[in-house]
Amino acid sequence: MNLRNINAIYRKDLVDAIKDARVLLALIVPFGIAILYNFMFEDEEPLPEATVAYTEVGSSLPERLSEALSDTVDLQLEPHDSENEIRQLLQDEDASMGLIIPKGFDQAIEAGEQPPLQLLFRDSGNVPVNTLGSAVDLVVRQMAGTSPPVQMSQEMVSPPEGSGPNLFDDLGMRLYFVMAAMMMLIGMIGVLAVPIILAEEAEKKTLEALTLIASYLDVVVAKALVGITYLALGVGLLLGMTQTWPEDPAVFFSGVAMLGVALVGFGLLLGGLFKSANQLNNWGGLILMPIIAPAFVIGVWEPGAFQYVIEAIPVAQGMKLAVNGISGEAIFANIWIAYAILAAWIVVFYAALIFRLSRIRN
Amino acid sequence: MAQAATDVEQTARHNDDVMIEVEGLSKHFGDIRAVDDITFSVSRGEIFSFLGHNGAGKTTTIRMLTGRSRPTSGSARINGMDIVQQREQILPIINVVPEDQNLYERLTGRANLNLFADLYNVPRQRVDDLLDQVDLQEASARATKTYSSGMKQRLLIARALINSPELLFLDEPTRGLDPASAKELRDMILELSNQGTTVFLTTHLMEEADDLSHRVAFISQGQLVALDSPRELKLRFGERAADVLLTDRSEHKITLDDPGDARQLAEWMSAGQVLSMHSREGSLEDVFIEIAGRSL
Repeated sequence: MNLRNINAIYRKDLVDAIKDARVLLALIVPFGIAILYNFMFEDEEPLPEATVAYTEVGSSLPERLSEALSDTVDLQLEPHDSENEIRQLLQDEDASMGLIIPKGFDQAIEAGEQPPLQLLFRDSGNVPVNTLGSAVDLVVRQMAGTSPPVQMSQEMVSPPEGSGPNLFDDLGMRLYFVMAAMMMLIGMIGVLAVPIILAEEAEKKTLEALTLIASYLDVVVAKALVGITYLALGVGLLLGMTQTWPEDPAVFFSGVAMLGVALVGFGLLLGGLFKSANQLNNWGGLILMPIIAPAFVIGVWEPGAFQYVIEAIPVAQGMKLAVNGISGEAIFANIWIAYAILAAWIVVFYAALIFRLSRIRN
Repeated sequence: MAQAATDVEQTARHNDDVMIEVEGLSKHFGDIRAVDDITFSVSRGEIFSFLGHNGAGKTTTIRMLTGRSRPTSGSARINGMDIVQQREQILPIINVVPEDQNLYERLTGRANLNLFADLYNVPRQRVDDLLDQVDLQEASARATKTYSSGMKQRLLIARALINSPELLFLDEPTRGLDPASAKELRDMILELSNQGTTVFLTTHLMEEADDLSHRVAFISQGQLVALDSPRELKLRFGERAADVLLTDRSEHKITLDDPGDARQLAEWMSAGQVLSMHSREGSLEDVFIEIAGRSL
């Protein structure tokens, strides 16, 4: 292996390959998909907004109300001097609810005097009237120190053990599709772009000229580096364009890197099998589909026994690591298995590649 | 045929400085003997032509000599170095102009040469010098896919000269070139030879081999069947006779070894009756047909 040769071929390929429409398309398509989905979906549904206008008498009621509704309503509080101003706001549909709070309200509650509290609603608003009214009722009971008539407990019921995560819910539609498109990008670079640039060297017989001074190993290593460079640039650009950053960069980038190295190795093997770049371009799609399909299946659909086949495909494991890394949560458990499967594929692909290289010059 | 090959094998005759020494070289693919026990040598600065039908073993021989295929048996040395054991030392002093115009077509002419300048670790100034030499300086910023066939061939020559090779393999170098471009290329080959570069040429054009080569080797079915200078081959396999045209427009064949014919020719000449006289020495193609049974 000669570093000077690798560097020369690498720099040539970096410029030459991107001028190939087939390679360019392999890079652009996943970007297009990622950006499309990025704009189509939001990370989370925004909370409904409601404005509550209240008479400023120094009561803690408005703040307590805002806290009580913080999970369900984005509440805006507006203090005003008089009831008339508040009524006007409601008539103009600039507020959802008005609280006419008398002076000394909090002290009167503490003293058990049952002070008056007038609630004004407008005909229509983003938040149902009973939601706001019930919340006020709950807050004033708390202020009065009144025990609720029941001991209520709440619990989220999870799916049964082994049913796996639901990425649409756990990750959100936007992030899910950005991650799936990223897996597609890695797949298309590894399984389409890299083998095309290698097969083209053989097809156009430029490989003969290169191997007159460089070894076939130099050529293969340079192509692998080109693929990994495209992957690094592609993943970085995709994260930047979708304004996404992994919560756990170590898991995310290690997963993406291992998947990239594995698929580039697979691509280099493929590149040596096809007689021409066009043949590869025509048939590569058929090979690519099962390779990238797990990115759109894992964590979304459970195909029964077929699940084991999907789990064995590198992209499935890359997707798991990317999802855990981007969310910073253990959405997929036992990620060491994902690392192990990816490492196993890397060993298999590169061992086969080395075996093939050893048989080239005979 | 094997006996003929042994008979015609000679040591390189230009000087004692041998560039290529091949000894019993063979390459077998299963039962197929692509190259079968060939022996020859080529002197430094010699233009050596290797002629044969498609599949005769020319390309396999070049692939072995350029280190891209291991011989099944036998040995070969280039500049005194073994092609298998010392391949890495040989590669920097040889280069090839291939039969196919294998350029990077999306890259410019200059970028094509820059790549190989980097691979051979030669300064970029060499690229400019070669672009001037092959008259492609003006076109050097254009993608080579826009080049004519002649321009591409000139660029291939420039690429092959990037490392100033001591031994240059030329595989059908004038194929597809117009007569003027082919003449330019032939002149360039002669110039390289004069400068001391050894040229190993394969061509289907017998006249080209005849004009350029110091020596010619014929290969058939993997075996070397003849090796000598074009003139010696033509003399050896040609007919020792001449056609004489007299002033009365009568044509006569005279045999050079017949004393009677010699006297008759002397009489015609002294009487001023000879209009023209042509040797039946034959062409290199005739020699090849004689040896290999059919033309190239």
